[in-house]
Amino acid sequence: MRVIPFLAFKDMKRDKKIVVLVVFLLAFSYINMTFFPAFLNGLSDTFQSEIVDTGTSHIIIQPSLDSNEQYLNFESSIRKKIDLIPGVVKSSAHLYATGTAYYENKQSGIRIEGTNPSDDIEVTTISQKLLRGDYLSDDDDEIVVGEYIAGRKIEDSIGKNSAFGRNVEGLGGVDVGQKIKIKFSNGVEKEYKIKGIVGSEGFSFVSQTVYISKREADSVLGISDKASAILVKLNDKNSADKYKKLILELGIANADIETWQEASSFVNGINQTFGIVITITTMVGIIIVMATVGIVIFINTTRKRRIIGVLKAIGMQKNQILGVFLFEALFFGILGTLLGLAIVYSIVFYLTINPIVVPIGYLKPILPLETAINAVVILLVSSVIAGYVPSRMASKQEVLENIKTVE
Amino acid sequence: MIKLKNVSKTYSMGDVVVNALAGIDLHVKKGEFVSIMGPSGSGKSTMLHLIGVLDKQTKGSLIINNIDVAKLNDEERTTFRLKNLGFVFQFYSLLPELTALENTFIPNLLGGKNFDQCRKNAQVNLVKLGLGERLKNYPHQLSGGEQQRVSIARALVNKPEILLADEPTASLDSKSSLNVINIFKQLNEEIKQTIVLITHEEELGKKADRGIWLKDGVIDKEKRF
Ligand SMILES: Nc1ncnc2c1ncn2[C@@H]1O[C@H](COP(=O)(O)OP(=O)(O)OP(=O)(O)O)[C@@H](O)[C@H]1O
Ligand SMILES: [Mg+2]
Repeated sequence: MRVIPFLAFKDMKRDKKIVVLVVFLLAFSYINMTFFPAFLNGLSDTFQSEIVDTGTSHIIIQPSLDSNEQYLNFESSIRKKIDLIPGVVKSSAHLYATGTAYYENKQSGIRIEGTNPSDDIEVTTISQKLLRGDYLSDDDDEIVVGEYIAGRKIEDSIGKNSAFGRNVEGLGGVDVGQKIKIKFSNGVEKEYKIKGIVGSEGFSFVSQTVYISKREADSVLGISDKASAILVKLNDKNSADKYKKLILELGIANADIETWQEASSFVNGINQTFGIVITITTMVGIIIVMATVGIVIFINTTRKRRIIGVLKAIGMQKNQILGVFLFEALFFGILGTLLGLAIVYSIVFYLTINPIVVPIGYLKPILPLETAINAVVILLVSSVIAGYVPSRMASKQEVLENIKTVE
Repeated sequence: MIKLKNVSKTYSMGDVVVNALAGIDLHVKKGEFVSIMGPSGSGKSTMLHLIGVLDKQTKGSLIINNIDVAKLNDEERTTFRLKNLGFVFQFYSLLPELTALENTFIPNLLGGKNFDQCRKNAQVNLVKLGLGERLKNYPHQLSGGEQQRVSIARALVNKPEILLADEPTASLDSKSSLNVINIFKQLNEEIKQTIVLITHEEELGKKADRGIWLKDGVIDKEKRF
């Protein structure tokens, strides 16, 4: 039916300004439906990667809760087996402890983490979070301190809060080279020289942890060849499930094995919250699209009552009339999505190269293809549905009534 | 060609019943040019709408081209109009966003012709009506008389059996009016076009082969010219 696109294009050509306006509104809706999810996606990705990079890696093995064991035994032989699995980059043993740190008249509750830096450097990014000084070596008896524990000097911190509103007084501003006393929860007390300060905003523990070498942790805790957790880094984080199975097959005693998705499941909670917000924005988008297209087509058909009557009188079928206006609605939808796609991808592209700096790190919007395509489908379908109602009304009007209409 | 037998049309609005047509018998032969006259409200348009298959009679029978058009469904009636009838309306019936040429070829396009055939055919018709210079003009760039000639060209492109016109000269000055009626006369003489024309000006109505006067929904008098 050549006549449908012919009349539709001629009609829109006459009202170019309206077409431009509608297309911009639809593009805006498209952006609303895609950019916001992309932004939130990037945000949760930033959260999650911070946790994965510093806390869980891709697979984390811990003593199972019901085993009553505090540690995994024979960590070195477990790790040897794991490291032999193709696709595993490296595993790293971590020992966790708690205690209190003292400096002059200040004290601060701390968590303590012991690692073998030579292993861990390939598994976590903790060593990259160094703000000042040097990082640990395997047989170090010096320590690296999280910046919230080190704290700031009072005069530096007045009126300044950290990203999450905490006052970062800590030990009041101890720094590299100074000595602090640590009292471990098992009663051991020891003085350590600070080798470096690490820090990371966001949901990781880095800023609230004192890092020591595993050898030092072994000696303080009086254990050997044990681990509170074994972190496993993979070449491909998306196949963590598969590697979890392979590690399960090793038959590690009394162990809980979790992938990074499982271990950071609270991020899924955040994602679900975001999901609700996204559903609402999408609905707002649909309403904008439907209202815009519906009203424009409605006004158009109302203005054209007489001409529609004339066209029907000279032999144009109802369905062809319907087709012309539906074609216009679809065309609005297509132009709107194309413009929207172009704008959204330009913004995403730009922000990927120049990420937004937020308190928890760099934020790059992430637009999954599925979201982009869904929004295209939603926009096209709602344009057509919104156009259908007034078009259908127009096509069903009585010819005679229309012809008698005087504009 | 067109046979009306005891055709009536009643409009009822609540309790009020209007007999717009009250028993019309009329036979228009192939190649005949008939003009319909009469006072306002006498039922002229109503009759033309029935013949134009835009409306249905309440009573009686209407046979066009041996087809009982009342029995056609909506889609068939539309196709019937496209294939067999050409309409010229009283005023403003061109699409403002289309040129004279494009307006003219719409019925061809609806009939399934391709754009080349459409353009050629429309051009031939417009040239015949003296609009060869105005093919690319939009309706607002044309005078009322020229617009009506474009409407006539549009009504003719599908070579209809019957040309129907409801006061096509009502909004034109006397010179343009005469020009339009002469075109009808010429079409009737040269290609034996069957024409039914409504006019309230007897001077113009006289150009037809036969004149019919309606009054209160019935045929008041009839005259051959
Ligand atoms: N849709 C309608 N509903 C009710 N009454 C109608 C309707 N259409 C026409 N009529 C009535 O039918 C009668 C005939 O109307 P019609 O339009 O055929 O007159 P006409 O001869 O064409 O008049 P004019 O010269 O003014 O155009 C009039 O009384 C009119 O009021
Ligand atoms: Mg009338």
